[in-house]
Amino acid sequence: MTFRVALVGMPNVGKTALFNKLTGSFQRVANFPGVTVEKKTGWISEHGQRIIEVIDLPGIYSLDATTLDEKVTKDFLLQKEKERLADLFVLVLDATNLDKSLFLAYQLKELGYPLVIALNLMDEAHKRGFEIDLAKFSQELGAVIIPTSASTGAGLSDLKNLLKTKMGQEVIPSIELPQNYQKVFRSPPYVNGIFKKVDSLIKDVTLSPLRPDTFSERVDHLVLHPVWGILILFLLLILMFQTLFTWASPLQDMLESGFAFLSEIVSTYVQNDLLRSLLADGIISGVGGVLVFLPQIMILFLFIQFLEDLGYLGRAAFLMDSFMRKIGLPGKAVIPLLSSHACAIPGILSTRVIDNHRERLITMLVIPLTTCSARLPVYAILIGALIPNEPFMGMSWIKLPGLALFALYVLGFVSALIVSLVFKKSLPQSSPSMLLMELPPYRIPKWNNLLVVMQNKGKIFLKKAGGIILIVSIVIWFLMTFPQQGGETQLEQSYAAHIGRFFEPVFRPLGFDWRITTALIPSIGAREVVVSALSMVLSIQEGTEGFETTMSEALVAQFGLGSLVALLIWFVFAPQCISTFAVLKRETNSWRWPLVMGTYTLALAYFFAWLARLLVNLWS
Amino acid sequence: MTINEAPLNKKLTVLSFTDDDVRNLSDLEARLMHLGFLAGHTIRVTRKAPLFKEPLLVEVRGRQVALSREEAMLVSVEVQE
Repeated sequence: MTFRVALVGMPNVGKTALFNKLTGSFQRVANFPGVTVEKKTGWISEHGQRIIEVIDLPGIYSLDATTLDEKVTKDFLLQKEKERLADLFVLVLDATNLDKSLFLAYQLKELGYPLVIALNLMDEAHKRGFEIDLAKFSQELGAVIIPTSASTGAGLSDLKNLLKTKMGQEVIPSIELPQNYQKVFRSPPYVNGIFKKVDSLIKDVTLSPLRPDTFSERVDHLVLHPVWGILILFLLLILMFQTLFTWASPLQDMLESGFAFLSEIVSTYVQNDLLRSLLADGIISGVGGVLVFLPQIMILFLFIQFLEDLGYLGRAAFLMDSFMRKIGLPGKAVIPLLSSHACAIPGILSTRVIDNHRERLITMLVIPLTTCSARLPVYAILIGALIPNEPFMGMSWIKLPGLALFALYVLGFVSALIVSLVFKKSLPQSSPSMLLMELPPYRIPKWNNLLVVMQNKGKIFLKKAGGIILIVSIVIWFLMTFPQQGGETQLEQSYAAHIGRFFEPVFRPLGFDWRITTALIPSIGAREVVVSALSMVLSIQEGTEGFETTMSEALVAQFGLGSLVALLIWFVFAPQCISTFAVLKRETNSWRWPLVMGTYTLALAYFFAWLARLLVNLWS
Repeated sequence: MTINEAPLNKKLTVLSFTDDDVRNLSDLEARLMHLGFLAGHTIRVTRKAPLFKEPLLVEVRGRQVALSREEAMLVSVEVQE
């Protein structure tokens, strides 16, 4: 059996950075069984051989766990998991904040865990004048202590060597839990007793005390300022929003032309008509249509991790918390909600910054209502058909279509807020909704750590959403292509059209005929596809000159004003693309929540589309 | 008084969670206690968030901890002379 080492420590002590440094690219991110808490496993390798397995446990303050993340770590440590306990525990301490880290150290020591201590952030502590009697420190805690710096890599080879020597020694951990330990861990005398030991230990081993962190204090003066603080927050959020749209677009264009090129190669070299159509129209364009969002996902996570490592994320939550709480969401939900305007998938993935699982769930459920960028082509073509390109009330700088687009954004965002209020009232409270958090000192983010995180997020998206997207792309292609007549595809005769006709009566109150319901089928894969699907049912050649004008005229002539407005409103609420469902399923670990999300968005879409058509018909 | 009623930037002594406290503490209370909100400790309210005057930022055991109003209401304190 491989030698197993678990990293334990408080949040924000640089534990994950140390983990990334120790294991490099040899790591795997999965969930702990039954819950959506990330479990990171990695390997220390030598000459390409994996020799030591390393588990990065979620940060924990003490063995008296309150949040789900902490419970996972506690269950692992107290062997409530079926999983094998680690052979050795590396306790990561923060040298710039010894007091905070030592509580857990004493607890683990007293219970008899085989420990090695990594005294992290030692370089930073040195800079602030901190000197410590390491020999005495190590003696008092009864464990080998290695000063490390996850950012510079100092001390890491010492740590690895130590782990390797420990590997040879068979130590069977014997952990003794006091009776009714849960009550003991939570009693004031017990906590007070450990605090006293911690205080006297620090006094004993400190040779030269740490200078206070005046830098963070000065920065906070500005960053948490009632006026400047809010301004900085909004500038950062706008910057993030802009970045997702503008920086990602050249990369997206590159991916798009890559897929176009691939599709061309297939068209040239594959002789069989059916196979060529499957590969080019089905798989490459279907999967490609979703993969173009990969750059946005990776850039967003780069941005979020940067703010997290900098220490800003907690400050943003502090500033926004009381406002966001009024609508049932925590302060940290600002980031996922805003980023979902680019794409719901990174938005849902980034809800991991929210610690409370109920609040995280609410955020994930309302995210699909915000206007993602895949809706833009649909909005553009429908607004083009419905609204004349004229100035608003004689003001030449505001045009009606722009105003309509803005109104659709607002409609999406406001419905997200209202729906979150409804969920807040109706979902049962599981754990207390806590703000309670430490604001960490500011630190300069390290590029290599950011890159590892970004890479992992990209991998998760490809792995978890990729399979479903592939299957759905093939199914949709099949429905749109078959049955063929004399080797030719007739869309009107396809299975998709049959399904569209079948559902036509259901959608008649919205004014959708079978052509619209048929065009809605491929939009399950990716929303923007509905534009080309509509052009197919209207038999208009896409990509020709004046395509948009022809489309606009044909749409109004064929479907009428009321139905088009209904269709526009329909797209504000539904349908969600399949990747959103796939990611929500992964993040909540059940089909229940994707089902809830699908049902409520469909209901809203149906009702408001019906209402919109009614109003339009009354008015005209 | 409780932390949310305490004056800014004054040294405060925590009165909650004494050694002879035999109640079963809630998750939230336990978390507060583990952060150092424990009878006899000295703390200081350093900042209040804009707009709604909450959350509060409190210095405890050398750290800056953010508390919502509900959380601050769980800890009683008195101003040090």
